[in-house]
Amino acid sequence: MKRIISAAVIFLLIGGISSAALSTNQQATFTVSVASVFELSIDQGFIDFGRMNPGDMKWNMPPAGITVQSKSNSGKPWYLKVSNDSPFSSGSNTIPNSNFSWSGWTDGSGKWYGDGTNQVSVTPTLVYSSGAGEENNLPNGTVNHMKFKLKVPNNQVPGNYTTIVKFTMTE
Amino acid sequence: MRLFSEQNRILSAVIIFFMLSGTGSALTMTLQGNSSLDFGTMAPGDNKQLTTNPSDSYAYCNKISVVSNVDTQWNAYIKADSLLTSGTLTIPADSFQWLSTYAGFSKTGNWYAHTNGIRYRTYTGFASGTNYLAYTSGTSDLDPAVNDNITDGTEVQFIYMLTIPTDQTAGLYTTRIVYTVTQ
Repeated sequence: MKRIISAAVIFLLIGGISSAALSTNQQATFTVSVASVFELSIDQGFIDFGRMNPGDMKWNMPPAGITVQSKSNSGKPWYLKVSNDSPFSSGSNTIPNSNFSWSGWTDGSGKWYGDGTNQVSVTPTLVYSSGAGEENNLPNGTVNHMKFKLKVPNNQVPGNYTTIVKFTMTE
Repeated sequence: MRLFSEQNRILSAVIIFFMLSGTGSALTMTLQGNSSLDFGTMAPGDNKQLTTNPSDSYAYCNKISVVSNVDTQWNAYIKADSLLTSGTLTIPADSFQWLSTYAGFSKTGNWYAHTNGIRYRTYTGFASGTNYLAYTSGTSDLDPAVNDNITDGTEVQFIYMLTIPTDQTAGLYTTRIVYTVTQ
């Protein structure tokens, strides 16, 4: 009889302990891929030196400069370069690149490589390298301004001469 | 004498059985819908709402289903363990937002909306580590207290929205959202 009474008491104690606070949780993972932006734009694609005589020189072309805008959100340094596909040409006649040079200025915080004597070359030449904070320069980008100078040789053959100047942005 | 001692042993065994099988309160939660949610590729400046059907006002992204078998109020919380992060880069708290679109309960078969229990019906940003009280069970406009909702449970639905800052650095950003129910 004693054993039966003891078992019944234990049962009631355990029945009174089951009201502890409950908690449970679940989880979900969220992801997004922010797209890369790496863009280069210029505000004008045709520069006309007009009519020039042998021996003439024109600089500061175009007068307002070509606006070159570079945008990046890669978080890495980037560089702006300039070159031309070939020297000014009219058929088989050319004006050497030694007579064609670039200049300008930057609105950015990086390094500007122009010194007033930079010749245009078929090999891309550094114009600008990004500065601190410009590895991501969104939303407005970094703006550089380019101008060109041309001297027609004294013995230049007449004709319509053209060249294609290329701006390149790289990391 | 021997017979009496056997009876005692049998009686003790019966008592122990009832102690082990005694009932208590139970609270369960399941996450329904995707547990891996992807906003996909977004450009700086883009805005996207994560829902099953953006043109359907009744659509949602995912939901929790909570079942309680006791008449004690319970609360559902939601939090982001961190900001959306890619290495050392983060997307600001206000850019990643959530709201609860609908909550409803059923005991057996008949469903009732319980929007009064929803605490955030407009978009709120995920401040990192902040535990937001999303829903509180209890008295409904339509039905007596439904803290206990066995067998069908209570659903709380969620929608999420992300706006990429216009100057955000490219990368794959992740975070973990934790849903917690306490009673």
